[in-house]
Amino acid sequence: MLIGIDINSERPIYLQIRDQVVSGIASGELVEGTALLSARKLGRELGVNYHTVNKAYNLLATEGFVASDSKKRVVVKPHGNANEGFINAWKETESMRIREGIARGLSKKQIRRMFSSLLDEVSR
Amino acid sequence: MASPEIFLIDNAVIWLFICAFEMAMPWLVPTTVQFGVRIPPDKIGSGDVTLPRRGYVSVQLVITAATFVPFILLPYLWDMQVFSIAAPFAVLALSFGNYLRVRNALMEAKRKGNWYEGVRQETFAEIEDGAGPRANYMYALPALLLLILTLVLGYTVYPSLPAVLAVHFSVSGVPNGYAPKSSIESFFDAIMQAVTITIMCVIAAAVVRTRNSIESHIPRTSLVQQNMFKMLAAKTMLLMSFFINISLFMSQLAIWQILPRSVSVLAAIPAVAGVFGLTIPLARAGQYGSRMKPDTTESQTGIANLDDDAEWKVGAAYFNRKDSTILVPKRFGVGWTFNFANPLSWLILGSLIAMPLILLLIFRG
Repeated sequence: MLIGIDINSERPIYLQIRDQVVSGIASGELVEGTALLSARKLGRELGVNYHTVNKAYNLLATEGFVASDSKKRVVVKPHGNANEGFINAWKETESMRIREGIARGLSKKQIRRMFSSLLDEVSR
Repeated sequence: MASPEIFLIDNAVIWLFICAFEMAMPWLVPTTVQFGVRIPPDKIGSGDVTLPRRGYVSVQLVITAATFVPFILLPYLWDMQVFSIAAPFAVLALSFGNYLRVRNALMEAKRKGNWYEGVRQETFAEIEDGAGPRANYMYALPALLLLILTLVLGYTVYPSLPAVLAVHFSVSGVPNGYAPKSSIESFFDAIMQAVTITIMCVIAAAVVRTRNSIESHIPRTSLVQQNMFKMLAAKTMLLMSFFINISLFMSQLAIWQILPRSVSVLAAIPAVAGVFGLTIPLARAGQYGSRMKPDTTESQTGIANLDDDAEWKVGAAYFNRKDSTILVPKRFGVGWTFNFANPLSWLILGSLIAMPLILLLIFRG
């Protein structure tokens, strides 16, 4: 899977990498067990420091999207490993988003429609 | 045919090849890098780029004509064929001057017109491990079989060879070096076959592992092109070892007196023909496969590559201390160049130059 990095973006590079790996898993492009390039190699391909890639990989690992295999490669974890802790944290972030929307004047109907269309867009 | 004429023909062929290659170069490199200058996608094919390119071609035509007379025609007419060796070098030097001229103009236009202002720049990479291309080492088989044939022939004729062999010949085929048949000199060209195969396998293994330089306006297509190009380059290297080894085979057989001595004069032909002949398909593929047409459908992203002009001295020599890479794709050429900011590059480059010299010193000194 191709990922693209904008080094002039305000979003930190490690988060850009993290976001795209998560998106890849969600879209099905990165399937369970796929090994990712080592931090050094990916850093070289992207022209960024390998510490930056490591930071992204560590974040992805703590978030439960990837894990190290016996060969110390970073591999995509099985999908459907959402545990209670994740579900609660996710609910909290999403309810905050909804509150933000309501506070800015979005109606319930608008929010529902947006969620539904976004869901279709992301999961296809 | 007298050998000085063959020498002139060799040089004329190389000269013509380089003239054509230099003239075609702007079309062999990606549209997003012209004369070593990064071009944003919206400037591709615009007059800002095509006009300087036209100027470059006109001057290349002049260079072709201007080098033909003193370095090919006159040496032939005045029977001073040895001067024809300067022809390829003259073209290279003048072409570089022409390149610099156009490059400076393009850099100036880019700076004045703020071509990169507000342009979205991204660097793309394939993140999956093991998705890269692989070299097919079966292409080294012809060279390997030829080496085995050489060894078998050597083993067969060895008892009947005279004690002292002529191992070196002048350009006209007259022996000017002798060695005992048991010495390493009498097997030199067979050993060199093994050296050639080894070097080409190492190069093939290295090129398929080189990093990508994905075109951000067509990332998917570009990734496929680059994988195709690397595999083609590996194949070219492995097949090239066969043609080089045919030359070594011929001169070895001349030393072993299986073939007449006159063959050693013609021995260079397969290597030269192979090296140039095999370079043509690679050049036609364009730098990093930029001219290859893979079976991909993709709409342009409108995203530009990072403007990395600063890391390329005169647009041709890569110098980036922050990058640990050794081999990077050339900017104005087909193939790879070194990251000259990496000390390892100098070490490899040095040993590549030193190795043949050391071999010559050991065996022929």
